[in-house]
Amino acid sequence: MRNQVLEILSDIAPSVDFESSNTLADDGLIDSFTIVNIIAELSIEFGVSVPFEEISNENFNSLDSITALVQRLMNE
Amino acid sequence: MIGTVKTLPQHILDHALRIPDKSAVVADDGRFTYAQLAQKMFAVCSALRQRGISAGSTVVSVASHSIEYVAVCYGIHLAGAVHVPVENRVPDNRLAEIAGAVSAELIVGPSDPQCGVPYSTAKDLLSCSNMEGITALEPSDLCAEILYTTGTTGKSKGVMISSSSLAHYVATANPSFGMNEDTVFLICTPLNHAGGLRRLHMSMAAGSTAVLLDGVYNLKKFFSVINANGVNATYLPPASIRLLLSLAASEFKKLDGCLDFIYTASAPFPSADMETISAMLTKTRLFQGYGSSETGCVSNYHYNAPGADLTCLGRPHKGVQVRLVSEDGALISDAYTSGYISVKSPMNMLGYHNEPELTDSILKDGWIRSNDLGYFDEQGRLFFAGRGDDVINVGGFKVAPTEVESAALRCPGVKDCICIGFQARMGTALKLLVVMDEDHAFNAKTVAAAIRPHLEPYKVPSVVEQIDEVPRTYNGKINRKIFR
Repeated sequence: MRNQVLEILSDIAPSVDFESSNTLADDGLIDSFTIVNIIAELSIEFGVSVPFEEISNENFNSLDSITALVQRLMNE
Repeated sequence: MIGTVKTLPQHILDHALRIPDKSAVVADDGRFTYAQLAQKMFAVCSALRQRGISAGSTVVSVASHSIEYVAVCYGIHLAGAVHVPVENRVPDNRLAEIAGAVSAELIVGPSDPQCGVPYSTAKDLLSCSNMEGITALEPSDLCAEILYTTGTTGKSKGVMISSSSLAHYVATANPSFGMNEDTVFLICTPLNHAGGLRRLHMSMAAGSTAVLLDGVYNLKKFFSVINANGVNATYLPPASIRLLLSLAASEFKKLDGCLDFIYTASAPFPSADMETISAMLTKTRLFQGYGSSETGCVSNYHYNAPGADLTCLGRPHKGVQVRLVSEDGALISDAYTSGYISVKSPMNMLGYHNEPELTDSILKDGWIRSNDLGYFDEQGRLFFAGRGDDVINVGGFKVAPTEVESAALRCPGVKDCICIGFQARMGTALKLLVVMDEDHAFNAKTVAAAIRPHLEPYKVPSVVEQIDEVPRTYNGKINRKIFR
């Protein structure tokens, strides 16, 4: 799943190195519009809906945290 | 002209004497009461003097959403120096470039860009303890602030604002919202641009509490900060409202009545979104304003008041003169006839920093000619008709693409769109590029049919195509340039 998520992220923001940062949102590497796009793509790809409580910097700061978010939402 | 106006440090000092224990500013790094903010403002002023900064010196500071930044900002004002705020997380080379362009004598930020300009952290300035012989200056025509904006030319320009202009800004804007000591204002836009910084100035002048948050997109934090601090007013650009409506509508709706008002400005506001938010927040006063870094606030309109017109921008504020001029500078006086919005106001900028020719091209005899098109109705209320340079001329008819986009966004399934001009056999025609949501398949005819009831026939695009994404600039505005 991690690779699948990486592929989606890289399509949305090809200029961002998602594997090397743990502060994607904190450092503004991904902005609000990118996050909206990521949420939309994750919803389509994995059939999950992301509630607002989960839209936090912590969940979007790294490839791993985004993957964990999807995993958690799929298990719910 | 508004009676006596005061500088921002004068306002803060007044509040420090009258309501010393009232929270002035709250952010991730803590809270300052007005007494503490005044004390820190003096400390910064004193520290600046020790570093050789005096009236007229230029200080660049990195605008973070922190209480320290607020103290630095007003300490610079108190010293009579020129404050040049730059984007938080600005790359060092860009910081150095701006510092060079404004001949900065000091840079204040989280790290030294090593560009030969003296540097200090905010913390060092705030910790200064020698504060003798400092008094707050009266408003003057000397430059107090330089705001870098992205202009239509794509090149950034430094808008020079005097302390008198800022004093008039808060004296004009605050009463239009009823800002007072009970206002708890959430500022979640960048504090180096007029949009966020002027909300801070307004809050400090009103004796309100400013709550600072670095962006809206962290929705969990956005709502928790509102609840934790009893926020009752905020400023949201159209893009942020769109974000909230798309991702957190039900939570957003819960703020109805908790928020006394929401102010929106800075970009054309799609009427579909205005209708949605008006229906959702019936107890919150919703305002749309018109203004710019260059002109200050021009007008402000309560668009969800009974009988209000969603598209209206209101009457110009007292003391603000607005006239419309044609391309060749001729005055337009007929109602409903569009022209370039020109403004003469005590809030007008002094000019663009080191750009005399650019300044002369838009600032003449005290009038600033914007690139915005507007018209008046017969009651003297101002309406927006698009950006002058975005207007598409279709067979002699002029079309503002924002109007077409607003209509298209009403169509079920259209998530985002951009209207552009293209060269068809008969001349320029309109093309609409739409982004569909996942629940609707794209059909050009359906989209065009949905637009038709809302617009004159010549405004209905002849070609509708599907795209994946509408290109936007860094601040969320539609990037039309790439289609020109």
